[in-house]
Amino acid sequence: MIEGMLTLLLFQVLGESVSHLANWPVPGPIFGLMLMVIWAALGGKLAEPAVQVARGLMNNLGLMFVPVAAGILFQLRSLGDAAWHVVWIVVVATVVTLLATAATFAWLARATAKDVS
Amino acid sequence: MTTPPISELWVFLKAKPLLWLVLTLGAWVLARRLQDAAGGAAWANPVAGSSLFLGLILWLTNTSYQEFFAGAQFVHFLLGPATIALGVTIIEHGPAVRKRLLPVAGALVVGVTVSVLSTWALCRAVGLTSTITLSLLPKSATAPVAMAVSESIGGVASISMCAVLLTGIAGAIIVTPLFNLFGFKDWSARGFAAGLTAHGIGTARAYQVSNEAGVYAALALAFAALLQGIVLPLVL
Repeated sequence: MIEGMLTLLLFQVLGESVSHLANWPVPGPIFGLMLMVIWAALGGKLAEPAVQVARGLMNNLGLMFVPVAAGILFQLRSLGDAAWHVVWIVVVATVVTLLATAATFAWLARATAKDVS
Repeated sequence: MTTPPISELWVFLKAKPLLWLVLTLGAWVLARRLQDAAGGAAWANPVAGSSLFLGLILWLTNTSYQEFFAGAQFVHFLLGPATIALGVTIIEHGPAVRKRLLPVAGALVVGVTVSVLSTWALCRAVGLTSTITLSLLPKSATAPVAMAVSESIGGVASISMCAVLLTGIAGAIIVTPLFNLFGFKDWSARGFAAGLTAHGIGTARAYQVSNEAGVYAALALAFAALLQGIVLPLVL
């Protein structure tokens, strides 16, 4: 378990370093994820312990958001009258974005599948 | 030697990070079980359930968020490695993903554009202040990206954080019934939309529903974070 965790944390350290040096507002773990995928695309192999730990973390991905999400109610209260607007705007924009994204993906997937056949 | 009264035990525990760590994990396990009992229903989202429960406890016990976070930070730290962990499934599904690069790229650009523009238009329509509007624009990006982008374009990080979490929870709850209603059957399209719109919380939901959806959600989460992190500060 420790070995697998170490592998993931090493990629995170690499990602944090890239993020810091590039001076972009993209967090280190996102760069770390990309670096790991690039590394595998170049033929790198992940050891079994890393895969096991990754599965364990992914199965509980939602848990990692709970510490911050528990503060939402405090935050909304500080927004005062604007809070209700924020809530409904978030919901409407979320529905619109979900539909636009899925429709584009499905349309392009069908179009490219036809080209191949 | 006299033993301290039992009422003092609460005062003792409340000041310990251990109590808040145990309550965070406990609330999560409980919320997961409740969702299982509800047959995995989307409305019984465990992120929403456990954070509401914890928010209620903090309010009832008059506990400050800082006191709570002293314990919850150990879970919060795992967000980093958990994000890296998403790369593992992308790697496992690499060959399938490579065949669908065009849908991935097209949906990425369209999705991020629609997310930012629809939010901007709605905020303008109801006349929200420009500080709140700018804070809401990156709300589909993963939390650290959204907060960093928000500050660089003139928003407030804590408002962005709130909007990001609301978006994630709303997306995770809405996604399944919405796509069933509109008859989307392509799991990769559904997953990609969930990850792009509702970042990590949407990705967590996608993995619950289908492994294929989860892979594309993780991909969308990473690419959308890169795109918004690079483009939004340049455009605004």
